[in-house]
Amino acid sequence: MLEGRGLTYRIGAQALVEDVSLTVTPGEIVAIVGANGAGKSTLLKLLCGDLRPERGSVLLEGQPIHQWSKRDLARRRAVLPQSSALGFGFSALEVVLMGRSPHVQGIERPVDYAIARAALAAARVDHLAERSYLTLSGGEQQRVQLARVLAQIWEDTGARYLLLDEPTNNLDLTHQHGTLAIATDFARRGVGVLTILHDLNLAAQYADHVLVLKAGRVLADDRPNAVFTPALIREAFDIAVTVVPHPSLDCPLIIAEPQNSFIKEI
Amino acid sequence: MAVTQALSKEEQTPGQAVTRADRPARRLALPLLALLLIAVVLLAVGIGAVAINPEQVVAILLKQVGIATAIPFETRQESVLMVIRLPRVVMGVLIGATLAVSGAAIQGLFRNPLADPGLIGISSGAALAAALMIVLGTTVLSSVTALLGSFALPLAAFIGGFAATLLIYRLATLGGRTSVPTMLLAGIAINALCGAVIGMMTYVASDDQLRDITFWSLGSLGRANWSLIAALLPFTLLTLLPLPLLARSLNAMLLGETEAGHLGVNVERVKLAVIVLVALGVGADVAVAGVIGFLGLVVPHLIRLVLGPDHRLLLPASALLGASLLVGADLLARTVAVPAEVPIGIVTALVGGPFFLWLLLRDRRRTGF
Repeated sequence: MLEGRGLTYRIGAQALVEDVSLTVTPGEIVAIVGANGAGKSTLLKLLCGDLRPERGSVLLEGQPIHQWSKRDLARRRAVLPQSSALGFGFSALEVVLMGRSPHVQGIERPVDYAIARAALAAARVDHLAERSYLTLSGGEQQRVQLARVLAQIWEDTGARYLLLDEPTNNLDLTHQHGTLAIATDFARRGVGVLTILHDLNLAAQYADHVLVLKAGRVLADDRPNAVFTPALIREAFDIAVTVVPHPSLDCPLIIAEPQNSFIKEI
Repeated sequence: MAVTQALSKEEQTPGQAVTRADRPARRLALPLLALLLIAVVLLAVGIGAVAINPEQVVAILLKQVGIATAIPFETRQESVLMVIRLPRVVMGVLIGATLAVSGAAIQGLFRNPLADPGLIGISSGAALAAALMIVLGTTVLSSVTALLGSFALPLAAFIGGFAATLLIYRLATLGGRTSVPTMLLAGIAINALCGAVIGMMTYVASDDQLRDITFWSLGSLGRANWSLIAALLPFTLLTLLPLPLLARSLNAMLLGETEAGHLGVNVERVKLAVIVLVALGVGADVAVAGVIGFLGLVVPHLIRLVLGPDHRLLLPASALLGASLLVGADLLARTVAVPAEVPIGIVTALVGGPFFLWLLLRDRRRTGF
């Protein structure tokens, strides 16, 4: 279990995250949603151990995350960044093989190549395996990075966790759903998935649990059907929406009302 | 149907598909570069006022280890090879390899293919210390000169380079984390400061001292001898042997420091190790041969163009090519204007400068910026 307890993080007097608690259990997908600046990325960084909370603690399997050795942690938990500034011409396959580095000493074994190729196929970029990363489009790069983190925790070595920071950025409709379908698949195989999402309908359709942040605090933490009400969405995002039942799935469907423009005549 | 066939075919040979690692260029790279180095070395020790052909070189070397051959050579050739040419070429190999490997590692650390060991203050710190010793060695620092004799200058240069690098590292480290962009900026500031003081020294220097400073700041392998090599070797090995062990970590760091951390790399430890190892190796190089530019920048570039950016291949390949190029450049430096000798820094900069510009323009054309 990945657990954040009473997490608070401030820069100066401003609290970016205030008293947030959450748990991610192997087998479930937890989505973090919230307006820009609500503290989603800061919360993810705290849960990764990249930032140290001012108050509160992050536990992985009951042990404080900073007490894990970096390598053991990397074998259990992979993190997909929002974007990656890789400026060197590795092939896509080489980038994905880097995901195997916590498991490898010396030269990659055939099994590492097999996993890397399977991860490329899962992220639907196997046809790009030999292409230089620098020549790929933004969406293709994002999917290669996804394949890299999948390869990192591919094998079932006990409880594993996948942390995704806006994984659907830059992706077309097919690959947005493709990415979350992979997350669902990994969850079914016992991986705990935590993902930041902007699209509430993606969160509603794929997440088991949704955590809504507003100004660094938890506004709601429940099943999508309970969280996504017009009142709560108005409070979190300051927007009027209509929520209807999804015609074929057991989840809500959120439709935004037309908005007024803020352009003023001067 | 065709699709499922293709899939099952691939499943039969997992990991067997051709990857860049299997391509001939990559597999043959190190043996070919080693052959190139041997050829350049044989050429360089043979050319000069006293010609020695490769067979004679081998015969003379075998004689040193007690094996007699039927190949005739003169004693004059033997002494020229053993006392003058070989130490010079061996020093070229050590320094060329160290500069190129250091360049590759620093470029990886800065995630910038245009970085170079000079960026972190090694060259300018060493040059500053050397200028101080040259100009003030007979007056203010005379006790140091008296104590260390001919070792005063190289030792001062080594300490100066190392101190400047550590200072830059300290300036960029806050709360246990080193900011690479801050290091770059601090490096620029320290380099400018060193340049100012060197300028002051050249202003007050006598004509002889001025020639010494100039000669030193342009680099030369002309002072090579076996005892200097004995002093240089441990530092060189300290850079050449452990850096390749960090290759996998350096690869991961190209993804970004946070990403490397998530892959299990102890990023701060890698940064410190690379900086210290590079400062030791390059500091020792500068101490014995002065400042030799562009090699650390250009060699890793050349290797990346052909073999890709994987540090596991890049570091050893850079070492071999760097050694070959510096020995070749030194051969040019001492033969192009016989009987005079051109400082080697002029040769490397004359060849390296235009090449660097070509790289810049090519990159710019390719990325469209």
